[in-house]
Amino acid sequence: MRLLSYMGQWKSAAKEVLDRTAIVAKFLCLLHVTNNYLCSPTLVYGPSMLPTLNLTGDVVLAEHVSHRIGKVGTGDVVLVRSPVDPRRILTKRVVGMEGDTVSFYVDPMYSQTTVVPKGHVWIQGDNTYASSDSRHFGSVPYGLIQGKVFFRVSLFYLAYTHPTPPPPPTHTHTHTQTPSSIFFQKNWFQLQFQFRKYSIPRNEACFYFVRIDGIMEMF
Amino acid sequence: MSPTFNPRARNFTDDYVLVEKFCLKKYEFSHGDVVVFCSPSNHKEKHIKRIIALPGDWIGTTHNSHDDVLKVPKGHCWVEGDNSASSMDSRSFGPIPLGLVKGRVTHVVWPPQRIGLVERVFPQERVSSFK
Repeated sequence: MRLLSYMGQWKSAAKEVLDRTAIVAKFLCLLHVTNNYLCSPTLVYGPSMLPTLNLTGDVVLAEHVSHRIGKVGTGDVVLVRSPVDPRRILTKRVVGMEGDTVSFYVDPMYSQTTVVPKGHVWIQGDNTYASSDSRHFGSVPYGLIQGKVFFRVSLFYLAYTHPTPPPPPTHTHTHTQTPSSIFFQKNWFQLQFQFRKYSIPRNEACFYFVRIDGIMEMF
Repeated sequence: MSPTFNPRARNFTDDYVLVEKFCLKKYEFSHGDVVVFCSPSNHKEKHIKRIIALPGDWIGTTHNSHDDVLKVPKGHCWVEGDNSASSMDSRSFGPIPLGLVKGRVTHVVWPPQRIGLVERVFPQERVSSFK
């Protein structure tokens, strides 16, 4: 008799576990599809795109729709799989499309002119002095383009009076909600948001800014 | 790619194959792998050929009726179709970057009488790899 009631409880618990797992699985699938086929944040670093992008690292948003429909053109900053090492992805600017004539300096005295073949693009880094690009490995096939960069995301953390985050509340503080921290980590990129929802004096507040190229949003 | 795929010359739309994409994590291929890749002259087309030579290998080709030996550059591979008589492959457009490869063919799944593993064969006499 008790065994039957245990079975009933176990069945409802198992159903709830399966429902929650299904929600998580659906979310991960949606995240995967968005990252690979729509838009994804990427960390890019290196000196070859100075002054457009930072030396020590920039998070950029890249969309993966334009290159499939052939909308990548001259002047676009693109993510390209390296023709020298297929495991590396480079960030360069498209300087010439197929059919264009490109002139470049091999060394300060000697300039060379090539025509970009059909189905290829000519990519160059903005910092021509410290960039290995099409001037070294030639035109790259259009099929190597992985995405087009359209936004740069910069993250600022400003603490007005406290250089370190305020201490967690003790029992004497009155707070409306328990402090919650959301920890979000990807394999290359770590963002830590801490929302402490308790009443604090205004002059001790700390603000998080996320700037998307001119648009300021305050959390 | 006759006779590995579509052995009957009449229509070239019969065979269905299984393409695995786990190889794209490391981009490590072997001689004789059949791969699917984006055409270097038109990114919308996909071709299916066999990898004959890997980066660093020396491959013997015939260019304008005289024999030539080419070194496959770093990060590139040499692909050829099994039906050498009518195949647009690396003998016309040169070695292709490995980044263009979109998957490796492992099995034929249709028609039922030809279901099976796709064998890994390649002309060893034309390729030499010094590692």
